[in-house]
Amino acid sequence: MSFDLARFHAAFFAESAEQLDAMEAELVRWNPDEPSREAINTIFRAAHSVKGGSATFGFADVAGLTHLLETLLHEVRSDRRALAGTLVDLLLQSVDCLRDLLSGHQQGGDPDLARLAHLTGELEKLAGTGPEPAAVAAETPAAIRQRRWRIAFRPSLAMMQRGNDPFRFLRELCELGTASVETHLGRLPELADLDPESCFLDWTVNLATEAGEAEIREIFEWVEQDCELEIEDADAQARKPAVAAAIEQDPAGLATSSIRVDVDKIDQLINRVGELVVTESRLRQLLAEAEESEFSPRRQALEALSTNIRDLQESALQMRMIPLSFAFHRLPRLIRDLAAELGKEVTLEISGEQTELDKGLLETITDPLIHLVRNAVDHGIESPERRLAAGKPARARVSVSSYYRGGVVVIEVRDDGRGLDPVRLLERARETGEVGPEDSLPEADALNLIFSPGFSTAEAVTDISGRGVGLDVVRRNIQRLGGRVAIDSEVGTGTCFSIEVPMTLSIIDGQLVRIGDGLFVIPVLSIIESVQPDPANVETVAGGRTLYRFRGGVVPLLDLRETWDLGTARELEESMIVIVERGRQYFGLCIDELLDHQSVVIKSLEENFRRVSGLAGATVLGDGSVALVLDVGSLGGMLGDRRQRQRQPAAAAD
Amino acid sequence: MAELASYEQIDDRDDDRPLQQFLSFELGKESYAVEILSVEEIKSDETLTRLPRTPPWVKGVLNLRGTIVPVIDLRERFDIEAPAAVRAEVIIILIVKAGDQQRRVGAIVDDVTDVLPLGEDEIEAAPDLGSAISTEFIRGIATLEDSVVLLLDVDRLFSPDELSKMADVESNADEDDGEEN
Repeated sequence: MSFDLARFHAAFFAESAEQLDAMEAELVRWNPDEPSREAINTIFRAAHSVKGGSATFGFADVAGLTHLLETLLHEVRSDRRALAGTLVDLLLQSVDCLRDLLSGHQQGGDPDLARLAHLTGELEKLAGTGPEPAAVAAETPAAIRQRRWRIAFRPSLAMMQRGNDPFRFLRELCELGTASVETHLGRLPELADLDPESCFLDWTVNLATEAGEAEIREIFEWVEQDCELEIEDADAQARKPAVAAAIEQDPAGLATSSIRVDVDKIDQLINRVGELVVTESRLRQLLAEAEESEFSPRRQALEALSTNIRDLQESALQMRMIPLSFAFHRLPRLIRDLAAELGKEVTLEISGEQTELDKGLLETITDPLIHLVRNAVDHGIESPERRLAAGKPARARVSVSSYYRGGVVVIEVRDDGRGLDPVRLLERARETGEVGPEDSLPEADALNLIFSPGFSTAEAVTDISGRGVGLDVVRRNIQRLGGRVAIDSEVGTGTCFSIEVPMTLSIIDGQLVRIGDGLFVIPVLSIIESVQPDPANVETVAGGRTLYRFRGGVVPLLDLRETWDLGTARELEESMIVIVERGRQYFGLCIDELLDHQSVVIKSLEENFRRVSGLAGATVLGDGSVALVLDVGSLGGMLGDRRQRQRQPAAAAD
Repeated sequence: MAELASYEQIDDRDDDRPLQQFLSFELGKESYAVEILSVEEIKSDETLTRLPRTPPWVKGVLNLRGTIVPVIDLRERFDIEAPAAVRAEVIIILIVKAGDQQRRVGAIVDDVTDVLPLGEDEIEAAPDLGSAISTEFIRGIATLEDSVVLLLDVDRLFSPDELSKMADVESNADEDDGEEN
């Protein structure tokens, strides 16, 4: 039987990354004054499972380092060594080093071997100092008596597929003492149904050993969630109920409560469901054409089908949603290291990490988010001395929070630092020529100057944020996702950046319209109002531009039939105007006909072609044809720098 | 029109050099071919949705099982005169590779004619044709008994760079004009 090792590799790398993340999180949170047994166990388990996996796959460097960690952590776990100071730092460095080594194995990168050697040396030095002898002496008498254990080990069917060899655990058990093993064939299916990669056997081991229950359990530590395990003290049957209860508390069901699925598979599912929605609309259309009565059995069957399809679609999309904690979990470490490097004292507060976002969006938003947090620590927050002088507590606060608002997710990065001075920003902008020497700007607009390319107010470019990737890039990336980023700041009290992004990129509420000979979808979120134009409100200005009076102001009109040459241009009086909002500006789109209002699945034009400005993508309609989805943001840009633009804000400010 | 090559013909060849199969088609009076491995399917009578701000030879997009595929008129792309008589227009859906990425692009051609098995030795380097077709898009030429077939390199012809030239023909000025303030 040939094994596709690569499949297991991927799972190992993914799991190791998670284990290292968990280890890092516990270490960052670790407070030596309030030691937590649970935290130590998490850290130990992480090291242990990475070691197990790496040894299985033959990554000797990883296994070597984790073995050292495990030795040290074992001493911590049995209270023979304190988890503090140097050890915490060394462990954190080990996490970095392990990540480096693992990514080397995974992607063929170049791991930093000097760092590994240095770290190994340090750890060995520490381990060499040895545990305190008193503690060892205290422990020995308890373990000296031989006891008899009865261990029922029932692996899950999938255990072997996850790269675990059940025999290994049996062998390790046998090494603890004298053992007899009974094999149970109860789960064994007919030969025809026998899947050679599944583990159908289970075992009972009677073991006489000096080892305690913890040591036995430790053998299975790596697969605890992947098997049913009962350990009974055969000498003291009375203890049985307690053990059984403990096992119920740690249900074996945990192993099946989540599974790892390739994102491609979910996307395939979502695509299929999309097709289903299209077919359903087609059916609906056919029944309507056949003038089928509302109450006909066919109509009713269709209604039932529709309900199920909607639910299915929602569930499928839900699968791609993951909580923001996946982006936030990197922040504590980041803050810890940054603060140490800059000599600042910072407390990080995180809230709303359960807010969910589409996976693709979350990945794109992580870098801008980290950039904003870096910025807050590096530029926003003052040194402790300056803070004290300004009458603030020396320890600064950075808070990252997120919540839903309407159909969007808001993420805020707030600091209580020095704040941004609009006057200084304006001066700076004049120096760089961004703003003319005579121009003045309202305060809010001056703050927004910080998003201009190449703009920095830090006196000296530091190692941390001044790497040439500015806030302009942050903003561009967020805008690309159909989101926006805003800034609010007050001199002396702090700055708040807020990012707004849609929850998912793939589905929007759309208004189908006909413009000339084409069908288009306008995102409902950006529509203010649709109006039948009143000739009295139309104003033609020099240069042939047309403006429309709306809510006491004037808005420019964009006629795509003309701009995009979509068939014959019509008189304005025969058209409809859809007033849309772009940022804080309004403009009107001339259309021929308002059609359905429906949820549309946006398909990318870039997948097979490229981005077309003015379009957010395309969607497939009920009859299988394609309608283009308008991107109000970039359409507004087509109004260009014509002079009407200057009159615009006055109109929209109402 | 020649008959489709059969596998017997391939087996008849006395040298062991591997054969590549090409799908040939006509553009105006000229014969072209693409490697058959880069052909996904052949379609006709498709409804196309026009894309704004693209050159005239980008005919629009179509729905291929839920993905949006651009369709390019190769005759117009290469500036080849239309044939005298109206012929069947078909769309060849091509698989275009760029690095690890695969794109689907539809190419409108006049008529699909044949499948040609060609050995490497039958393919000659492309001469400079001095026409609208840059030599970089041509893998080579093959001379058959009565005609010459130009073998197109679809990965180059529809490379991301080339595709990016196919949109925003008016200007790129408003591309990044997303400022909201």
